[in-house]
Amino acid sequence: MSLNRQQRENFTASHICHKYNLLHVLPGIGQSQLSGLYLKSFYNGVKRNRLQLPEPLVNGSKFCDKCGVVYIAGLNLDMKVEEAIKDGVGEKSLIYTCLKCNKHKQFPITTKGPEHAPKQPEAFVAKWPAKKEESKVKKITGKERAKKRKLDSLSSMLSRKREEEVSRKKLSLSLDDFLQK
Amino acid sequence: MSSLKEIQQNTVRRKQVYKPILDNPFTDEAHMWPYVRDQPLVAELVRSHVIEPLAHAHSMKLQSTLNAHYGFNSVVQYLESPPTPEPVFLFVCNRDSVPGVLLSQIPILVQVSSCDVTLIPMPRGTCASLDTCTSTDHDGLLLVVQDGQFDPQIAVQLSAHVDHVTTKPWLQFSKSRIAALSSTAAISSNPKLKSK
Repeated sequence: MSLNRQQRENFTASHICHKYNLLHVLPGIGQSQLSGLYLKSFYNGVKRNRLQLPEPLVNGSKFCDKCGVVYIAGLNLDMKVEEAIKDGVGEKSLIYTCLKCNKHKQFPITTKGPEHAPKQPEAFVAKWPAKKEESKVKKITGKERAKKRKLDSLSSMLSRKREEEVSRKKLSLSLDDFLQK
Repeated sequence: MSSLKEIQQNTVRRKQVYKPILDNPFTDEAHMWPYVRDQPLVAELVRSHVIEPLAHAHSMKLQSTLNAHYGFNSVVQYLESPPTPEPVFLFVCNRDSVPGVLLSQIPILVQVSSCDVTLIPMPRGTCASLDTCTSTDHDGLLLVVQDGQFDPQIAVQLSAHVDHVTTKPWLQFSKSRIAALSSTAAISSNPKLKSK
């Protein structure tokens, strides 16, 4: 008998729900030793059905990573916030301790910025601006070099000469031109 | 040659929904936090009768009239082993920027605790006003013991406007009716006997 899509989804949901609920029943009935087995079965079901679990179920804040028990604060879980200072930065973290297997799990909470210590006024030291050494060789940029190369080329020299000749031939009112002609 | 629609249908992945797993009636994780009716009234009551007296006492460096506990460690320690059997009010700033992992076990601890706890989720912005009550880190948690110093009228009003969360079946601990039976069985080493 084959199931249609809707039936298959319903079956998957009820199947995973059942496994998830079984995990929650175990601490209440005092059979926590089966938790690891049931959690493995739940994760296998999730993987088979390609389900995406929410963050709390994956990051280890819901189930113990080692024994698989569902964390219940006050029953099988000891919680404590601890603050450690590393390199002048206060790092606060929540530490879960499983009372079944003594597994410690650390969750970083916030990172505080370094406390700004008041700066002591520094003694006055006179500083003269250092004399800049002027370079003897004038720096020429690539653009300038390219321009110079263009001007020094034979064609540009010829065109410059031609322009000069043309300008000489032109009639002007200067006395030199008149005398030459 | 397949059409564009056909290719799109093949490539689009269906989004898997895990909601029914978490919202099933047994675990009922969607309703871990109680619902507060008439939220502005509750916020005003808490502000005027709890936060302001505590802030005033803190600013004047006087001993507070209320028996209050701040911070995660202090609150968790109180709920795990309450020194007095008196009922308590636990104000939690779960809508402010308090990390979720810090508050995830609080509703469970409230249900498991041996003392009578009224859990009150506070509106956004309460975390900032709690800063005025104490100089230590409060982690968005304030526990006030309902002793003789706490106004009983305010306590009645607060309790009336906050729905008590129904106890989850998986948090009602009872003795197991299913006993694990440990027994031994003989292991026969002779394969001939096994086949018979």
